[in-house]
Amino acid sequence: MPPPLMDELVEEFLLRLPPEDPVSLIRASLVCKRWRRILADRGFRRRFLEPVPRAPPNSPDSGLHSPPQDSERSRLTWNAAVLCASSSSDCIHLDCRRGPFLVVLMSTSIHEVFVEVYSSEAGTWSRRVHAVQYPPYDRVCLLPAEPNTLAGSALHFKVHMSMSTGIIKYNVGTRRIDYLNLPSDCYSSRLQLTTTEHGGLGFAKLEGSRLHLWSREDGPDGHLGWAQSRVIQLDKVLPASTCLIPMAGFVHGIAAFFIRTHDGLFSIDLKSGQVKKVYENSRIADVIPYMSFYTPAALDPRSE
Amino acid sequence: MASAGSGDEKAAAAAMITLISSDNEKFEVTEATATLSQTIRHMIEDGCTDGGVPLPNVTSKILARVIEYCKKHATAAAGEEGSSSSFSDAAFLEVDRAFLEELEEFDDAFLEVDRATLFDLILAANYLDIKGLLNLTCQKVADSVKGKTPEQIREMYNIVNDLTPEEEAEIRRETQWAFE
Repeated sequence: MPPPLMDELVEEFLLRLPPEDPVSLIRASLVCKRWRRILADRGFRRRFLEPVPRAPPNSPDSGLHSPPQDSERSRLTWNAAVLCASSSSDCIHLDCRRGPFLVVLMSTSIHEVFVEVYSSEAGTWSRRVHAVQYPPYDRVCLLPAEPNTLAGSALHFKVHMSMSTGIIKYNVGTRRIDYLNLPSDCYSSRLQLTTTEHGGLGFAKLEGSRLHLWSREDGPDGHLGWAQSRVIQLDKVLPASTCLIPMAGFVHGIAAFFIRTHDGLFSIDLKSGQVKKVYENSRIADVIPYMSFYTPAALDPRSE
Repeated sequence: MASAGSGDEKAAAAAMITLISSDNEKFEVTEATATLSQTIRHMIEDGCTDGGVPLPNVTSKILARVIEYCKKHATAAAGEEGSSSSFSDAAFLEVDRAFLEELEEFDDAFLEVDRATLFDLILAANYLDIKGLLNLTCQKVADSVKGKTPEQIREMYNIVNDLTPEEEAEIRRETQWAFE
């Protein structure tokens, strides 16, 4: 005869009922008063909608419109990037919107990270690559609206844990997942991934009125490490009365920062140091750069 | 500094811990195996594992199974860790498909137990704070409940129906579609 379980353990397995199958929940609520009470609890309903670790999906699906295991994924956090699939290094990615593309989808469960890649040429999703956090000490979350960064042949995603922030690197060529720690005093979610002028990975962090730029470089022992490459005194380049709001956007390729202030949105060109006010309103949630636009009639000579 | 750190980890991996079940049976396990349990990890960190770790809530039968699980999952993690040791700050390990399949097969076989043992494993995983095992066992119970009628679930887990006939009739009336 099974030993009795405490309420929280009954809740643990009821939480793992499939969210897409409400029939199971309703039937479970008819088992006894205790199950019914647990299932009707507001805390349970909230937890039921949060990501919980699920059994890993078995096989990748096909088709861009049905990413693998939609129902499983509804409880995971995720972020994605669209990349030009041209293997030619000649492609400068300013007019390749109609060419073959890859969608790199990164998702997490509590201690795991998954990557699947959709290829428009093959019309299918790749096998998923999987990495586990070891030791499993903290919940790993991606934010869907946060920009990710391509540096070299690797995509970098900011990943949030309850006490810290880190970077997950996915090498598109080798399909390898790695975790990069940030410098120990930079464990903040308020930083922005950047690329350096040589195409390497960097990040920027706002501290008071100073914008600290870090880059990932070879250390003396051959291991990659972080080095602070530059500090920009924002109070010297922005109008005197400006009060900073800790958020910055970064445009890769042209190395421009967007700094949000109470006086509006400013851009800073890292190369020239030029500062411009680009928008009056300070009520902006995010800056999403567009490097080019998809305008088929104007760009395709065959349609003329 | 990095090399000193990994040296310590290697020394720690070889250290042995004695776990003592409720019926006083002793199990020698490596620290790497034992620390899959957050409860034991904290005890090791606090330096209170000399003379063995008494686990008054876990019988030798269940503890042997739990150790079997931890050994498999710890070996797998350690092997993977070795392969990526060139990367100084890799805390995420890439896992190849074959390894995943092997672990899944192990987990499936591991779960081939009667329901009483499954519940004992849930209690032990919770007490020892082994998240992977708790997830695995709870998912197994959830899967076993899926698609079953309330009567079947009660029978499987020996649960007494304490809903009044009126309550039951009312719930069924409100959710008729779930029973069609």
